[in-house]
Amino acid sequence: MNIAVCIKSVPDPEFYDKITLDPQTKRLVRDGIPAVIGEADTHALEAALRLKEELGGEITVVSMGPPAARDQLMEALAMGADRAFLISDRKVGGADSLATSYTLSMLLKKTGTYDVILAGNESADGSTAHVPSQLGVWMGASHAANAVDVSWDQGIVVTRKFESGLGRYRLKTPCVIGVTGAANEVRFANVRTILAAKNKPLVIYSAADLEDLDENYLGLKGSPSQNGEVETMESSKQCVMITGTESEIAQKLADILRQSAVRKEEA
Amino acid sequence: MWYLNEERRLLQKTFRSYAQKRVRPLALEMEDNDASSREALLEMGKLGMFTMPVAESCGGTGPDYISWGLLLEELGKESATFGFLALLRQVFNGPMSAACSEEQIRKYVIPAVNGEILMGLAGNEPAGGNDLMEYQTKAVRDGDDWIINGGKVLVTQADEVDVFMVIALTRDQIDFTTMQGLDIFFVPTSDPGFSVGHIEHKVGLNGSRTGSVYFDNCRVSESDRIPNPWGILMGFGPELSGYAALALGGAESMIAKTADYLKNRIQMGRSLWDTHQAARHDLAKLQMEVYNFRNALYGHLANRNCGIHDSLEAGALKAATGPLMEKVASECMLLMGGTGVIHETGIERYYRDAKALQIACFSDKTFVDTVAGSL
Repeated sequence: MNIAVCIKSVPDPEFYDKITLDPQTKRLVRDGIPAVIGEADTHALEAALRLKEELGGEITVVSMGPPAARDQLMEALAMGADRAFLISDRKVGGADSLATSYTLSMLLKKTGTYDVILAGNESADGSTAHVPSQLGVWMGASHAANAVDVSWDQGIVVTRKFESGLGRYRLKTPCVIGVTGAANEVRFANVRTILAAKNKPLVIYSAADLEDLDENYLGLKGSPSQNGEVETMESSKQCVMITGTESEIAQKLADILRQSAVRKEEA
Repeated sequence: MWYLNEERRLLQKTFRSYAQKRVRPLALEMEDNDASSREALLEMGKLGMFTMPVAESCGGTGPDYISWGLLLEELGKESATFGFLALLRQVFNGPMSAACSEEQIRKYVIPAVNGEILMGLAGNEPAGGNDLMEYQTKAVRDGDDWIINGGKVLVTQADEVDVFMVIALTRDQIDFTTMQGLDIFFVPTSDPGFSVGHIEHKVGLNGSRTGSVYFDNCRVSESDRIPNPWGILMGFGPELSGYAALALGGAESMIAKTADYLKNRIQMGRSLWDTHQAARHDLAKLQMEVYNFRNALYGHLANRNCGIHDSLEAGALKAATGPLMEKVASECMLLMGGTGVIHETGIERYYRDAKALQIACFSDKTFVDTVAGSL
């Protein structure tokens, strides 16, 4: 089985408290913040590794991002993927989810034909959860998001989570699946696999390497959604001493809680 | 860092992730309840984490001692005890790889490297660790077998391992010319004559389950006698530098915790970090010591990658382990005030572990005399 996994290089959640917003570009300032594979993407990769263990085949990892995203592709190879491709070009930078899914679809078409394409259901930074479904449309493939289980039973079977419960689907291949963190427990990379990673193919493409790219769907210019105003939330703590008799204190506390709740609902 | 390349960065990231996700939740449990780390240690073996720096012929991935140091450093950040137990795998695997027969390598060393079995060493006796002539544990030949009787004290993981290397006298006297009279045998703990005695309560390294073990007519075959026992005893020396990696990780972790505390402890509107230059400088001085210690350690490990295995240097690093950890723990507790001495903060534990580490695998006091003898 030919499996592709889309991953994204995102800031390490351990450093979230050190990330700031650039008021001019409205983008995250990532200087000095280490990058990791997005949490949901690691579950997509784990699902791919399990399918490969059961059915054999090859796992290709693809990503779009700055040249430094190569490190996350190496991590994926160290986890057990077989080959990796990165598209890194200023032309594709600043993409929203539509432009991202378009570029990824073109990268996937360039690098092979796949039975199953797995992606994290949503990225740890953008969190739109658009890309898997959009990718399914661009690829002309069946697709399912919010997957809490991906398995093989004479075909790909996906369990999806809804607000009202779970739904189980058989997907025709080729298919695209958005995998959530509930789908599996991600393995630790094995030292032997890590040491083998450097001998696996990792190719970095520029936009010019991908044929027939439609520039109307590339990067910031090809993104119908643009960032609006952003501001950094200031959080502050304030200690208020409530005094009085026990019943007065209870009443005041109840009033404060009630007012807090009202404000939250109004917001 | 000069010793990091892409491959080692990947390894370091995995080791860090393993330490944070597996060891961190276990650390307090080991400390409070002397809880077993057996499952996690076996899992590490299955993940290939004991393949470094073991030779490929013994199931390893080759001698990269720097990667081994990175592993122990990351484990040391979460738990000195767990790191110590992981370190022991190489303390055993290293000498065993050189001193065992091919059959023993297949039967014991490769399974130990792969996390299929946990290996231990039963060496110490009440008469003392260094005076081998005083050992009471004896092995007597019986046809193709050996019958072992005796007991050992202060045995690490006394009730957790699958196979012990047991040091026993095989003659009335050790002949130091022919080096005959002392042997080491592989004894499975499933042997009906094997039993575990009291598990000790120690000042530190809780969770290492130190205790007494007894051998009552344990029967092992001649093929379980290690052909070069002195290779085992002399082979421990170079592995002692691993202790320094534990101390390095522990010190880094304590300094990071303390800096974080000082920066976030707000009093009268400003952080302690901003208002107390003395505190900043105290911590910076510790960090400077850590820089030097780190360079000494990885320089030593880089030498080992080049085939230079200096036991005296390794021992010197081991002897520096306890004092560094003790000093950093002591200072950090002081800088953190009440928070520092609280058990769950996780710093006072290193203060106690430091003392136990000074005694584990040869007391630092003994080692100083070894250096004196080399002068």
